[in-house]
Formats: sequence, structure tokens, C-alpha cells
Amino acid sequence: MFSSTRRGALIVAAGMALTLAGCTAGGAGGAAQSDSLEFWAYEPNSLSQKEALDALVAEFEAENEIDVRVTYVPKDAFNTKLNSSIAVGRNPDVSYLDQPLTPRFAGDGILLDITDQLETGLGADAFAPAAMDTNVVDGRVYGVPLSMTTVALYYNTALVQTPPTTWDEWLESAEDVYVPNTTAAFEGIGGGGWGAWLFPAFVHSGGGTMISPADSSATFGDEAGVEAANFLLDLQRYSDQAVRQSENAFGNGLVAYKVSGPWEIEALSKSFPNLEFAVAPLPSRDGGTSVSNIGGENLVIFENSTKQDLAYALIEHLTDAEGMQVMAGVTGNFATNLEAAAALNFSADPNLAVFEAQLQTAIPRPTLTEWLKVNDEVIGSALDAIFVSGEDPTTVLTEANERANVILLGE
Amino acid sequence: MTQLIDPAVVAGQPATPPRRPRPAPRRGASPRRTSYRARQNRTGYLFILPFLLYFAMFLLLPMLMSFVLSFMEWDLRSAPTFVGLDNYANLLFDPIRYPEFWPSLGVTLQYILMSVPLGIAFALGISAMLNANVKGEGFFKTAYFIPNVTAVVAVAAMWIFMLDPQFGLINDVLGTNISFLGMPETALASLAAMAIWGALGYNILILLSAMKSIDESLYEAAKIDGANAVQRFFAITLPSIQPIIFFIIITATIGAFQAFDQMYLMTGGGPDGSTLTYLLSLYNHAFRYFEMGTASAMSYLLLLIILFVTWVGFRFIPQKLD
Repeated sequence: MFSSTRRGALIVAAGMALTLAGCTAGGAGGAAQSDSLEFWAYEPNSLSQKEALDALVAEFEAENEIDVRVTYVPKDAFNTKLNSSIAVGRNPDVSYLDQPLTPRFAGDGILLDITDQLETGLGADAFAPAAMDTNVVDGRVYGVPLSMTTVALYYNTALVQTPPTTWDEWLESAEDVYVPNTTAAFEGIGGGGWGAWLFPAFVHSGGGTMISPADSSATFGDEAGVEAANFLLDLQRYSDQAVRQSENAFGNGLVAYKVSGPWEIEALSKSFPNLEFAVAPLPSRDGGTSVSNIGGENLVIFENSTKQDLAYALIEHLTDAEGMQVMAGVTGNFATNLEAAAALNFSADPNLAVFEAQLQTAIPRPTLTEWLKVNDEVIGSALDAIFVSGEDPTTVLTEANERANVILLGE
Repeated sequence: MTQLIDPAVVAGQPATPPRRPRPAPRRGASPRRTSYRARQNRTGYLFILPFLLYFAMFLLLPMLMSFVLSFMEWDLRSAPTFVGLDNYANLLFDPIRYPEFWPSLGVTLQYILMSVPLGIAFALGISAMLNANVKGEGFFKTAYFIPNVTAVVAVAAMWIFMLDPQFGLINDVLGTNISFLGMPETALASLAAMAIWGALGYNILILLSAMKSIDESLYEAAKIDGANAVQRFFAITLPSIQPIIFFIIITATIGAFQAFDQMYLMTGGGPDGSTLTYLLSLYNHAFRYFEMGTASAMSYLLLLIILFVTWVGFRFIPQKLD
């Protein structure tokens, strides 16, 4: 016989047990064990992009007599949802994956090693080398590059007639266009993780590296990194904070130079029809090769997928020369498949042609599992200390380099 | 001591009749008849069962799980590993791996010191004015409450525009070109000002209703004694609403410890970490770096801090009617 309190507790416990049972049912394997092939993608920006991807997937379904369930997830929430699904074993078979996360996921042993399939299939040579490199960890391939993008130099043609090709020319031009409290030379590279993503382009332009290829230790605090920071500080002297930090400063014609990606072309043209602008390659320190950095997404297969062959077939369908032409429109980025890129002929648009050329020398982020944390917490904070709080670049970057090595190498 | 005499007999009333023994249950009847009180209890439990289930599933269970996780290293993708107190020790004592822990706590304390006292002072002042039978009291109450019912994103977009160094209303009025959200010296204060503005309506509503419940005769007596409005406010109003002020201080402080939305939307924790609050840092560890163990440890450290601050509040802030 139970007291009423004890009975109440039992009812609650039974309810919890039932709910828990409901939550965990089918947890092991989860989506990977369903009849259909599960595919997670970023929510496209427009209905037409979504329809294009749906049609491409429908083709694959018809060819392979399999049902593909596409789940569209907003980009901002994608990584959180994907990680949560992995935690409960209900992850998709195939998924988009942000470039810097590929090495982390591969390091955790949850991505399928597709080195052999790729060799016998499309082949790694079919893709842009820089984008392909973001999938390679310890010589093995864990994904196929889906899209890639880079940054270049936007300039206001009403303020600048000829874009600079070297750092010295850029500084001279900055001095010329600068009008205190009215016109800033450069918008800056921004702070935090975004600034830390852009900074490597300047380090590489100056002949430096972010990490040592030999032992993966951080090298951004070396001479080239300090020189890059000093150069950006020099540009900042011709760029009053109150002007460059105004909303849409470049669009409103208040800033002469801005570093950004191809997505700005349409936004600037639509929102600021009176703005006259063009795009040029990022200037290099001494007139050598213009170097930028690369971003984008990969397509990966999860190790626990029960349909690994079909999953790889879907990836090939989306990234072969034909599929990639559609996917470039879906993602709004550049095609990574070289044949598709040639067919799309981006160079017909003079501004897009600059980005396409810039991609040829773009350098990917280091494929180290802890790089994202180093990017945000170490390099981002260091750049803030230099560009916002005015601390000495040599001291700050040396300390940041040491901190990065503690995280990367445990030193 | 054992009671030998029935008190009813002493009081001249008839003694309590002895209880009749209960009749034996009839054959086939229920062995135990449910009392009215028990039936009532059962109905009550059924009514609160949905809430209890919700509480257990979505609050209690996650709280217990995150407590367990705070002793684990877990990135959601691989199996959690037990690390004992390492997460707590690293957060507290390893500034190389967790450089933002102490600064983010400092930023949060600064934010509390800026937003809570000033927020309450403004709310008190405006409530006192509205309590003086001003015309259009309802309109003002509604106007002050509008920020509470406006989406945070819309509020953030509006303030970004108002604080713009070139085209912003505030710079226009001041005749300056200050990048309020771009300088470490002004960014946090700007967000605190926005928080004060945002919470004003709620605080005013509570304080005003407390003020309206004060006995009018106290004011009349004070007036007869020659007390002016300021004296009446400090001698009657303020002491009479002390419990409400205490409530607002505690809830506003706890709310400020959990400041996240504006920082996430408007500054991302910058410039130079000047608006990186404790909760934003916790969010980064959980959902950007997927360090669930570290984030769980941070949330339990925050719980301890909030409990301590609340205890200090209970200990030192007057909370009873004077």
C-alpha cells in the first residue's frame, strides 16, 4: 500500500521513464538506419535555389531508386544541430560541413575516409587544390569540396582610380584619400573570429605562414605576422574610427577600401545604386603574388551511415561537372569542380573574374582540430588588442603565438 | 504530561462521546475507502502532472545532466571522458587555456554595477512622478512598457542605428562622432544604457503598484506636519516599498548576470572583449567550440556566484517594511 505522496512520485517517475523511452527509441544509428538516405544542407537563400537542389536530388533518386530525405537547416544553427544529432546518434548520412570543422570531425573519427572512393571516382585532381586541401587530414581524404569563396579588395572608384598592387602603393593611396572625420582610407579587417580569418591573407602576402608545415606549431607571431599587423595599423592611421565604423560606411561612400567576398557585389549594387566600385586582387607586400584565403563548405559522409556507397554516389552526383554547376547557384559561391568552373565562365563578369583569379592563390586554413579555437580566442583577441586597444604588435603576437602552441601542441 | 481529565468536562460541557468502532467491511466491498482528502490530492496531482513532467524533463534532468557533464570532457561527437574537477580547476587557474574566464566575469560585474543601481534609480524617480496623479498615467505606463514587448533583435537594430557615429541620433544630439559600440571605453556602458531603458517599464509597473498601495493617511499626516514632496518620498514612500525594491534588486542582478542577447547581437563580445559577458563566453564554449564539459562547469560556477550574491543581498539589503 502506498501513501499518496509516494504514489504521486511513482506517477512522475513512470511518466519520466515513458518520456525518456520515447526520446531514446531508435537512438543508436538513428537517421542512419532509416530507409531513406538522410542529407542535411544549409537552408538556401531563395526558393529558386531550393528548387534547384530538390531537382538535382530528385534526379539521383530516380537513377538509384532510393528516397533521399533532404533537411534544410539555417546556416547559423547548422553546426549546433549537427553536433546535437551526432550526440544522440541520429546524424544524417551525408551533410554539408564548414571547412574548418572537417579536420575536427575527422579527428574525432566520425567521418568516413573516402580516399579510395575518390581515387576511383572523380579524382582529387578534378577539384581546386586549395578547396580539396581542406578535406585532407594526415594524407587521408574525409570530404569533397562543395563550394569555395575568397576575399579581395573592393575600392570606391570615385575616390581611387587605380587600385594598389603593393603595400607601399596602398599606403600612399590611403594618405591621398584620407580626409579627417569625413573619408577613411580602409574599413579595417574587423575583430574577433572574422578578423582572424582575414589576417592570414596579409601574413601570407608578407611571405609568412600561420603554422609550420613541419610540426604544426604556430608561426603567425613571427616577423611576417608582426609586419602584417604593423601595415594594417599604418592603414588605420588614415582611417578615423568614427568614419570606418559607421554602418555601411563603404556603401555610403565614406571609405575608399574594403576587404570582402563576392557576396558583397550584389548587396552593394542593390542597396547603394549610386556607389561606384570595383574589385582588385589583394595587394602583396612587395609586388609579388597576391595571396588571399579560402572559405566554403565540404560534403562529408558519417562513419555510422549504413548506406555509405549510396551516400558517396550522392556526393558524386552533386559535385561532378554537371551537378556542381547547379550547386554553385545553390550555394552562391564558386564551383570547386574545375570543369564546372570553366563551364560557368565567371570571368565574364570583371569583378567575379578577380575573385576567380584570387582563388588560384588562396590558402586554406590549417587543418588542425583546435584551429577554430585558436582563430577566435587567440588570434582574434590578439588583433583586437592591437587594432582596438593599441597594444604593441610584437609583444601581443609573440604572446598569442605561445598561447596558440599551448592549445595546438600542449606545450 | 499525560492529560487525565477531558478539558470539555472542566469547561462544563458534556464529555466527548467515545468513538464507535468502525463496522467491518461488507463482503465484496473495496477493502479501503478513499477519503475525500485523498481524492482531492489525487486530482490535484493530476492537474500539476503536466507541469511536473515538463519540469522533470526539461529543467531538472538537464540540470542534473549538466552537473554530471561538468566533470566530463565532451565535444558531443565522441564519448564523454571523466576528468574530475579539471574543468573547474582549468577555468579558475589556467589563463592560457581559458583567458576569457576572469575578464568575462569582470565585464559582467561592471555591467551589473552600471545597469542595476541606475535602472532602479530611474524607475523609482519615474514611478514617483507617475504616482503624483499626473495626467495620462496610463499612456506613460504603456509607453515605458513598449520595450518589454518588442523583439530583442528589433531593439538591437534600433540602438545600433541610434549609436551610429555618423548618422546616429545620439551623436547628432551631442554634436559628436563617437563610435559608442566600437570603443572599449563606451561599448559596455552603451549596452548597459540600453538595458536600463529596456527594463524601465517592468520596474515602473511593479514599483508604481507598490506605491499605490501605501496608506494615503500617512501622506496626509506628513503634509499636516509640513513635510514637502521630497521629504515624504524619503520618509514614507521609500521605506514602505523596501520589500519591492529588494525584490527588484535581486531579480535585476540575477538577470544582469545572465546578460547575453544584446552582446551577441550588437558587439559579439567586442571591441577587445569589453562586452564579452560571462554568459556569452559560456555560449562560445558550448556552441562554438563544443566544449560541453567546460560550459557546464561555467554554468555551475555561475550558479554558485549568483547564490552568493543573493545571500549577500538577503543579508545586507533591508527587505522588510520599516
